[in-house]
Amino acid sequence: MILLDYAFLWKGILSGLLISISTSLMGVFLLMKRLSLLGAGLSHAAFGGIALAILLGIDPMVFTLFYMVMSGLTIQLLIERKGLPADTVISLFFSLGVALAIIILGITQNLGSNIYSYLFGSILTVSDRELLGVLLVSLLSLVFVFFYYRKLLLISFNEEIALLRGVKVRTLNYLLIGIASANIVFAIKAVGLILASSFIAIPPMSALLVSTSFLSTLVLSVLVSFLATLMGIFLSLELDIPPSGAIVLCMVVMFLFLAFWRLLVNLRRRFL
Amino acid sequence: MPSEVIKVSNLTFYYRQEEPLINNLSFSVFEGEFFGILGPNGAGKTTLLRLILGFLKPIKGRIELFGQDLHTFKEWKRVGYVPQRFYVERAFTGTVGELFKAIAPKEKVGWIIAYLHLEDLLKKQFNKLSGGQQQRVLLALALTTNPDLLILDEPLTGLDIHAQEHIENILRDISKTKTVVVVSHDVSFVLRNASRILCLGMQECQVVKAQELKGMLKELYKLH
Repeated sequence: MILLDYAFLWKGILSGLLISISTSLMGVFLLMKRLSLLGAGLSHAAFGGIALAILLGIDPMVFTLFYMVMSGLTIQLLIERKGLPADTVISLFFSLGVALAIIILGITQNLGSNIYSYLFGSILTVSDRELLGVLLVSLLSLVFVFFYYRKLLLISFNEEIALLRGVKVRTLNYLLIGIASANIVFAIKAVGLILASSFIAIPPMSALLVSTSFLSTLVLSVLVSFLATLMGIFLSLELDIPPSGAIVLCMVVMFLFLAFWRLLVNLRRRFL
Repeated sequence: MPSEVIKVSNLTFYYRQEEPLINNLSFSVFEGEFFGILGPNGAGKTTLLRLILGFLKPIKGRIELFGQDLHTFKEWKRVGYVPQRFYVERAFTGTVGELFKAIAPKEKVGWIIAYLHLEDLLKKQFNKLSGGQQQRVLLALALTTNPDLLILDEPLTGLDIHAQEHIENILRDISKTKTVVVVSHDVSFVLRNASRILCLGMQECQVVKAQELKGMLKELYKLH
C-alpha cells in the first residue's frame, strides 16, 4: 500500500468514488423509467464521438461530453415526440457510434493506442482537468436529485399523476437524461466504454433486491457502487490487475450477494 | 340547472388519420353527476380521458373544464385523476408514505389517509400491496387536493369481489360531494352508479340515462 503515497492514485480513487456516487443515483431513476439500457447505448455511442474527436484533433473530453449530452437529449426527444420504443432508439445510437468508430479506425493509422484507454478505462491516470470535470458533474447530479427529489419520485411512480400535480415532467426528463449522459462520459474514463453501463445498471439493480423504500433504494445503490469502486481499486493495486475489471467484478459479486441474501430472507419468511 | 364541469364539443381525435378513434363527439358532464363511460376495447375510452386531462391534443374540437378552455385551464387542483393501476411503474420501490410526502404536505393529506384507512399502509411499498389496497392509495392520491371533479380509469379491473365492493362503496360516498367520471368495462357497476352514460364505439356515440342503456348493450358490444 506504499503506492498510496502517490498523488495520482488519490486523484484516481477520488474521481472513481465521485463518479460511482453520481452514476448510481442517476441509475435508480433510469431503472424506474426503464431506461437502464441508456448506459450501454450511450457509452458505445461515445466510441464514435471519441474516435471523431481524436481524428479531428479536438479535446476528446470536451467533445465527448457535448456529443453524449446531445445524443442523450435526442434519444429522449425521439422517445417522447415520436413514441418510439426506448430500447430501439438507444440501439440506433449504439450502432451509429460503433459504426462511426470502426470506419475512423479503419481509415486512420496510429489511433489504436489512444482508443485503447477509452475502451478499457484508465482510472488511475486521471488528469486534473478530468478530476475537475468529475467533480462538477457529480455535484450537479447531487444538487439535481436533492432539489427535485420529490418530483423525481412522483415521475418514477406515474408521469400522468405527476403532470396533473404541476410537475414539469418534460423538463425534468430532459435534465435527467442530460445529466446521466454527462455522468457516463466520466464512467467511461473510470472503467472504459465497454463496462461504463455497469455503473448505471448494476448498483440500482442490486439495491432493488433488498430496498424497502425509494430513499433506501437510492442509498443502497450509492453504497454498492461506492464500496465496489473502493474494493475494485484496492484489489487492482494489490493484485496488479486492471481496475476497470476489478470494479465491475466487485459490483457483480455484491449483486449476487444481495440476491442470495434476499433468497434467504424469502425462504425464512416462507418456512419459519 | 347545474353547471357544466366538462364540456366536449365536436371532438375528433386519431392516431392514424384513416382510423378516427373519436369522431365529432359532443357531450357535457354536470356538477354533482356520477357519469359513466362505456365501450368495447379500442373504442377510445382511455384516450378520451387523456384528452380531457390535456395529456393528448385534440385534432379538432374543443374541451372546457369548469367553463374554461382546456388550453388556458390552470386550476388542476380541482381535478383528481386515478389512472389504471397497471400503468404504475413496476420497478417503483417507493412506500405509500413517500408518495404522500411527494404529493402534498402532511397536514393536507391527514384527512384522506384517515378517511380511506391507510394508516397501516404508509410504511409499505406500493408495488407490494394487494390490488384493492393499491386502488385505495391511488384514489387517496387523487383526492389529496380535495378536487371537485374525480376522473377514474377502470377502477375495478383486476380486483376480487370484496375489493370491488369496497372501492364501489367509497366511490358512491365520494360522489355525494364531487362530480365523478368513470371509465369502466364493468357494465353492472356503471349501471348501478351512473346517472348518465356515454357509450363509445357505436355508430353514433351518445349519452343515455342508465335505465335506457340495457336495450343498447347488444349494439354497444356487438353481441349476436
